[in-house]
Amino acid sequence: MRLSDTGCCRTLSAAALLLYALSAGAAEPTLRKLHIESDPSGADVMLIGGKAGNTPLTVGERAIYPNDYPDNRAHLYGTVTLRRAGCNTVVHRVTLDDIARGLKVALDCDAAPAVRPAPAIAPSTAAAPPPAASNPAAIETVYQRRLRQLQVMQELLDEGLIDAAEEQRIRRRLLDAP
Amino acid sequence: MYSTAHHVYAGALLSLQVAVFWIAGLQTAWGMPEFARRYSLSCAACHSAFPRLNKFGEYFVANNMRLPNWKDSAAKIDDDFLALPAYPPFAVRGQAYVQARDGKSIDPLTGATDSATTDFQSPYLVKLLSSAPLSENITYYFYTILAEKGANSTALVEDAWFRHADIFGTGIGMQLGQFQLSDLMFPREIRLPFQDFMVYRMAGITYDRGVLFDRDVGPFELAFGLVNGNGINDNLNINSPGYRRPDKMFDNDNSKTAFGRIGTDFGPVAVGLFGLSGKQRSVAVGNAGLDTGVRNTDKRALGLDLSGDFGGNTYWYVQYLWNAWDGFLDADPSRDYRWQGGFAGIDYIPSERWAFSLLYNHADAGDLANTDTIYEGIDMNSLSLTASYYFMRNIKGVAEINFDFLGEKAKTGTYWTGHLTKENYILFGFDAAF
Repeated sequence: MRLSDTGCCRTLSAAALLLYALSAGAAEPTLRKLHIESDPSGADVMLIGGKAGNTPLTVGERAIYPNDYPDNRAHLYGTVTLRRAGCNTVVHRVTLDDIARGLKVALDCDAAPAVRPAPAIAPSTAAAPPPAASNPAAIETVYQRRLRQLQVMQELLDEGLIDAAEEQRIRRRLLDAP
Repeated sequence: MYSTAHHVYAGALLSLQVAVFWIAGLQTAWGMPEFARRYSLSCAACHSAFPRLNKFGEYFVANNMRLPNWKDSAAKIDDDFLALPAYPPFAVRGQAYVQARDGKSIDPLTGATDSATTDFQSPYLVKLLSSAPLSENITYYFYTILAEKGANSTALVEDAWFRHADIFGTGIGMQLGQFQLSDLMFPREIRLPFQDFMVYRMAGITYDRGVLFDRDVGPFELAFGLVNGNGINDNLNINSPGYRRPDKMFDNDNSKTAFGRIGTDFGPVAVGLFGLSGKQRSVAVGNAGLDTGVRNTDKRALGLDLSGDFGGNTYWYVQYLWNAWDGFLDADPSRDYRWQGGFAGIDYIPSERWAFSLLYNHADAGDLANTDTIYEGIDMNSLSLTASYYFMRNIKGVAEINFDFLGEKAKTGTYWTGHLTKENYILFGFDAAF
């Protein structure tokens, strides 16, 4: 009698036993993680999926490289953004070296506005600064914010995380914003 | 005989269980194949489970297999007119398996069958791959097979092409070289199961030499190509044009095969329509259809592909292919043959360690049934279950069971051809890239 004559039930039983045997060893793996520190600490850690926590923080690799993500967040794939009130926002593309040794970022908090949170990476209508004509201090902040946004965008371009066409499109939106 | 088969299964299961408990105790280490090496990226950036691509991996391929900062990986030679890879960009893929198989192999000439039920398919495959961006728009990719399916011979080149991403600034990409037509739908090389997407091979829409143009137009992906239509083996035939002529033309006729695909997304479902029209050589009378005839006959194919994913860890895909081979057999040149087939699969990746796959293959020889040719073998109804365990991101253990649901057919004619015995199998092995 050949296997084909033993019927599906016996073969399926063998398959179930096989998969059970395989699953028996399916302990949660020890995967690579990225440890993130900043100076000063307490910075918001933004990944493609949103805020992951505050430094110091350890995140799993899949949080940096998710298998799926919304198209409008594609520019954040593989990056860590650190932002802290009063400090310049830092966008960093994660490398193998970072994962092996940890990511330590010194935030530049001297030249930045004292209290305003750093802007989002990708400008959006919701993130557009409010009209500032009635508040001179706010006018300065709007300009500074826009400058930072442009700096962040330039970093993204330099890092190769956006291409020239995307950079032009975002720049246009930034400069056209009220 | 049953006891033999039973022992084969029981032995394989025991071996698997021992292997499972052994590998479960291993620590994660780090794999670093070529693209990961060049861009200092984790394999996880492009693969949900090697070799299946995730969303970013598909973007990477569509973006001419490069990241925008590709020049950073070029040698620093202070020459803006030269972008040499900083090191030879090679990678290796190897596979080795042990298989217990129920199907008997039939010699189409004598009808003799072999009775081997176990086989060490090791090595099953050894590949040397290479790819790099060479200019702002041009990338090359090729791989050569040093051993495949037990064949040890001179290296066989399969994929080998140059691709320009933006011909004359039109946004049209052009790929020139040797590639698989079926890659427009589901690339075979990145599937998780050992079992193949059989209908592609049966329809003869895998490797060929030609040119492919593609462009996105609004929500649509358009691709159109021309190939020789005679596959990639005619350079090996001693009487092929490549041997006869000093200019090494490998096509054996003046016709070309045209093919194309239009794809778009309907919500979470990617849909594509594939079409092909060309010529193929007829099949000579006798010898079970093993010999090529001298007539050029019409060949057409239409395909529908669907795919999608759930939550980034469950992928599904479906392929249907209809084929028309007019006047294909010299035994009856006035007769047109029709047959169809397809496959459907699901890949479930619950963790970084495990991936589980299900692949259903179906093919119906249609008009080719009972022709007493090897084309009766276009007959398949099987389900493959695959479990992949990742030692590291770039090396996995594979266990697969194939259930053959095809009923045995009444044997006709002189030859014992086609799929006349069930091909259940169980397989265990390794698949690695580095």
